[in-house]
Amino acid sequence: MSEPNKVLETFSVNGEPHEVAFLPHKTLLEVLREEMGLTGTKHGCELGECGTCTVQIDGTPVLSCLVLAVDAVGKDVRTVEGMACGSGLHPLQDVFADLGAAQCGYCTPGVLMAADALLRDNNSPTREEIKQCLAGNLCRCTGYLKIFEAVEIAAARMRGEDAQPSEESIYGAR
Amino acid sequence: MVLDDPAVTTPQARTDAPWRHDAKKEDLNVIGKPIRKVDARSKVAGLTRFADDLSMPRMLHMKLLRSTVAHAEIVSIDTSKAAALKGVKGILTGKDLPIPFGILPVSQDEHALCPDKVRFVGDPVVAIAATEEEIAWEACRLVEVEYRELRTIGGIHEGAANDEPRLHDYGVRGNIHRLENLEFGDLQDGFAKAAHVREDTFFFEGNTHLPMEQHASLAHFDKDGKLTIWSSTQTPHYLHRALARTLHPLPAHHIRVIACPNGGGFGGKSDPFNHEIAAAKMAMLTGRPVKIALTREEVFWCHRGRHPVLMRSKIGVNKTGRITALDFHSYLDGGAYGSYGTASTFYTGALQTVTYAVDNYHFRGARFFTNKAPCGPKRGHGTPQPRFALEVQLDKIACDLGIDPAQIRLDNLAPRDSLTANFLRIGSMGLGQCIEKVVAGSGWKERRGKQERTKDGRIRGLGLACSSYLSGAGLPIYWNGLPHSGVQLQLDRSGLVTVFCGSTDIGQGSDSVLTWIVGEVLGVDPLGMRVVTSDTDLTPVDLGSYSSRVTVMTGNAAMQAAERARDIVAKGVADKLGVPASRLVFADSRVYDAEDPKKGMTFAEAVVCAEAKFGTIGTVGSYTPPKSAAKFRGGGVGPSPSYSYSATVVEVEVDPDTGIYRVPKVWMAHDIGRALNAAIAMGQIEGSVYMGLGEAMMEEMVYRDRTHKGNRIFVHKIPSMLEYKSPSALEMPEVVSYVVEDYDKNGPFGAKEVGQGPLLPMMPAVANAIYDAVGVRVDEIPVSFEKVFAALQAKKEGKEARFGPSNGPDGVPEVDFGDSLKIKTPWQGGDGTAWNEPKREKKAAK
Amino acid sequence: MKPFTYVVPHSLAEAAEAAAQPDTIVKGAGIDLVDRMKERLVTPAQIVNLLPLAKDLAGVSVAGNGEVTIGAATTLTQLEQNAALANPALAGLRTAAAVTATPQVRTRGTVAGNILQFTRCWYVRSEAHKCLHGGRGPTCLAMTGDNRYHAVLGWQDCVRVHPSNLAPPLLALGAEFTTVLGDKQQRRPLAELFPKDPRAGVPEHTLQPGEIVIAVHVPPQPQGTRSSYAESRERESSDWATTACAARVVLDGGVITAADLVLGAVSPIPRPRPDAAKALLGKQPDDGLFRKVADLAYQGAAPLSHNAYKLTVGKATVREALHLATQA
Repeated sequence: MSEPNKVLETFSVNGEPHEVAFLPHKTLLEVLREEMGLTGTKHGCELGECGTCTVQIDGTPVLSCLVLAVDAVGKDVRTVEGMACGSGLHPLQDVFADLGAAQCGYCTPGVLMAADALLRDNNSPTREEIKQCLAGNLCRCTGYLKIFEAVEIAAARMRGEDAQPSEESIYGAR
Repeated sequence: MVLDDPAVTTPQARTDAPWRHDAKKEDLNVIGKPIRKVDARSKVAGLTRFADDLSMPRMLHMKLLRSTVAHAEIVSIDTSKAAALKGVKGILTGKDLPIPFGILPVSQDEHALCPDKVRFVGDPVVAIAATEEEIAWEACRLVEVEYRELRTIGGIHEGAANDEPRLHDYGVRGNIHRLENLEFGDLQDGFAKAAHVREDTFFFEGNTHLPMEQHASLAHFDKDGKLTIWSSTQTPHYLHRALARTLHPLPAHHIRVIACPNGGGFGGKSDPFNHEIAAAKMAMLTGRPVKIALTREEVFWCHRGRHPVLMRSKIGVNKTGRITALDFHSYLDGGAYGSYGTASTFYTGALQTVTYAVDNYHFRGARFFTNKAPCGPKRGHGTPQPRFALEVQLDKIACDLGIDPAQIRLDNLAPRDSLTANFLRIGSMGLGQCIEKVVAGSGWKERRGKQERTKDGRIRGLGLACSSYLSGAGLPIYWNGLPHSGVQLQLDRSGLVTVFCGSTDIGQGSDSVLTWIVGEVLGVDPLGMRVVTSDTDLTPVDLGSYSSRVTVMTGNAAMQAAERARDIVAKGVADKLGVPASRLVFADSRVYDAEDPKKGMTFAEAVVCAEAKFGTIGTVGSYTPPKSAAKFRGGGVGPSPSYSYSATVVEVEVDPDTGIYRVPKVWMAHDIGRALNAAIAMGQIEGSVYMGLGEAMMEEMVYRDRTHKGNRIFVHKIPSMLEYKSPSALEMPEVVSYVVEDYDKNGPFGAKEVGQGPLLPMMPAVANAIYDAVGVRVDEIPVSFEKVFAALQAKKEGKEARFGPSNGPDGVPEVDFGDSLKIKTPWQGGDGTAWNEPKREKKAAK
Repeated sequence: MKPFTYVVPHSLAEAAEAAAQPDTIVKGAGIDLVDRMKERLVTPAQIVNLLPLAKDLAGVSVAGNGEVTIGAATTLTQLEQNAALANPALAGLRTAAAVTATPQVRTRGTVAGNILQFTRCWYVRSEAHKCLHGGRGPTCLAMTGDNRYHAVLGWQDCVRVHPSNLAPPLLALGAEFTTVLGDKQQRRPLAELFPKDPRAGVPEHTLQPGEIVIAVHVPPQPQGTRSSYAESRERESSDWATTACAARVVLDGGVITAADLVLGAVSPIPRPRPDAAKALLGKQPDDGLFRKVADLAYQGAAPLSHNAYKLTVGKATVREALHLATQA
């Protein structure tokens, strides 16, 4: 095995430049986590099957475990670390926290990335559109329902409405 | 200084407190409210540090070389080529870790690295650490292992039929790991009283936890000779014990286990694992931090999931459908090691009596060693399989007798505050309410049995099933007389309350449970607290996040610690304000006079008062479950401080042409005593529905066998998230959840278990709903489309409209269970002992 | 992954030149390729990345005569959402794109990548299994092993199935494809992309080393053409089809005047079923007719030990596709 050569490239991640030397066969997931220390992006299979490693490239949700890092050079990469503004949470994050839409929290960064991209294109998605958008993000804890509702409420709040979770979703049916 | 005056309060005496743990909902400030979890913010921000998110300078990466054959003796291992690879820093084989381990004291049958024998494809043989993960991986490929292959044991029937070769040189005999035979009451009499007797055979295929996080561990051996391991484990205390055992002579107090937040566990991270022990040893060998992050395929090898269980159930009922006797056999495919298997075996017979009164009950269970990944505890541990059998069988009985399946259950309910035939102590019991809720909500009475057609030609059906689950195991996994949970509180002058507890948050919210309980008692904002958990150096022992034990056990411990802290603070404040301590209210981060609320101070000021009077303020609390009434051998599995109950109605739409069906809606009611946090409890219910639906419809841990040198080997069919089918967002049905709160005196604020129970009835309810829709029985889990189709075909051809294991004598293996332990039931005047059991020597507490 | 040299071409010519070098694989999004490289099923010395050429290779254009050209690097999402494809004649193609895998795969996965992907057979895709198609063993392990997802039609010594769900609707529409090899461009019927004799060891496609697919063409469709795509699967997302059927019909006055049926996921290559399609001609759409046609589509099927159920759901899929194509 000949010694492979690292390449030196500058990535734009969450709007900031990151200069990184890495081997060209490394995936974006590996470079984000291991070279940049951005461990907010998780992995569940590393084979493109679970959606946990979802990040955005130029606003589009992609599986960072299947994207070679070299292919992300010159693109606008966004990760969960870039969602909050200042010390405040993004409305999606805020509602996810309130509703318990994050249980173990491991799939959450990927789900947030997919949902965030959806809301950028569509500020009032239907339940069906939300389901379709999240059909590639496996979650084993929540049963998805709190996630769907959180996306709906966050969308409404981002439209300026005063949306609250339903009584039934918090206290159950009577 | 830690003030620990046992006279202050005890859990049993807490109703004397000025606030009441059985207070009405509206009188509580924190409990029951949908407060955000204490770790919610870090989770949604991606800041929670899971085990694989950790790294250290000079850290090495470790990989395990795993067996490629299912059953073999190791003839030789040649690591010389691997050792020569640049970047390789350490190599371990079985001889470096000769001490066996295992989660249960009765089955210390695992090695971190197999010393002489491999027992399944995936059994680890060599560990290699290198500067890069890829180098370690490459080095593993350079290792040459010579195996002498042994005949394999592939499943329950093979395990029963083949005593040789034995996987292990312990167990009952041959490849039988465990045999249990418990008889409660008089079966002959019970069946004699029956007007109708059914005998059915069921099979529940194994399935696995599939937590989103792959297991990872980071071990560090510092220059003071102390070992620290961060790991994705649900049971840091048990890992600590396993490390102390296998790393002998390293003293236990030189080992620190820190359980990272788990990215899902569901029981899959409850065993001490070979990779954890190997990483620790490797860190000691190399003097450098060592990390191992398992691949998804390796997570399938770790498994410890749902046992495949074959069951034969004979049930007798009287004319009105009241159960008179139950004779239940279970046969478990245990996989290659013991794991929790002894407990799993008992659990297949333990909880049938907790939902329905069974006057006479005979349970026989057998667990076999097979050459597959070891099975163990998954959400519901050992009880979903018999629950499936019982609930489908009751449905059949109801059909046989023309009784409404909901009614037959209501008629058989086990009474509250009673002892069951097998001496389980039932306290609160809200199953009746649960059934009524889902029956009303789903329109069960009007819509059942109507075979309505959907627009696309599918046929609708409704199915109902119930369940119960423990609020923690009443006994620890190793014999001791110590508390199961400990909590320590530190009150700072700033008003900060820090909670120290050994419990592990696996996503269920146990860190938050601590803050809610302490927050309610001390009147402080849960989100303003600090929680330090699951660190064996810093936190009091909690046995772990398994068997739904944390809410009740750490909850009671936290309550005791908080009550003691409240007492101390109240004394300080009472002196200062000149009012009796008993009149003080702790709420809204203030301490004030109940009769003159303006008269008071902030909580921080109150702590200062108390600290001035008593010195530094800290308290502890601990919890030991009530003594079990079951004193016979095997009676240790099943007792719990309380039992949760669930009832569900599932709606299906079946295509009669293909057997393809979907589940559009589920009604689920869960009696949890009291919701400590409504929103989080709802999340547990919905998550259970989801996971149960996956088990019902598609999930299965099955093996492809192929012949290798004339021998069969078992390779996991589907070691990937693609082929291990689990429901996506698109399969998730609409769920109507009902939180039933039947207050239980043994729980903190009346709370019981939440989140395992509602998984259980999903599988039988789906099967019952299929029957309601198209009149065929699938007596096997998962109820795949293909099986429904096969049953429909059978019906069309005039055969029994059923798919499942043979109901004939060949359906279950022939096993000599030996003589039963005979236990008189409470109503026969039994005292919980077996009258024919040889006297056991009382074991000394360690 | 095994390290490799990464070539980022600036032109198609450069890509073609690099692609012709030994031990080289051309990569689009790399969804299937990176997966297989991680599993060490392929270990190329060199990868040629086509993504920088996406501006030339991606996109949909419609010629004056109605012929639709789809760039090889067009993503499935772009295909699904492209307004130029929003007509009933191409509905099958859009549906097939829309149901593929997961949203994250579709936003990146390309048309060429979908058509050229390697089979999902769990024996050949696992390094641990020494099977014939993988060139690692003497026999097809699926033939005697767990073959629930394997072939029921047109298999010989290897029972893998072709996994592409775009290929059946494209074939039903009579699509062609263009490649470059060195400085030579070539346009052929799509059917020629798949081997006639898909035995073990024969690659999934007929491309020569270094040959790059650059576009797929859908010829103009006559008035009244409608197409559809239906598939069976075990879960609604994150899955491959267990059986699939693409249909194309031309309806004239309520009568079917032309028809094509192509089955996916049941054979080592996508399988056109002309005899079954012929039975539709001159008839009016009708469930009874569709049931007969579904039986014809699976005539001669030879299921394996674990996959007879594929015939049941496969036939249901044919019926569903025909209903979709002929519904008003």
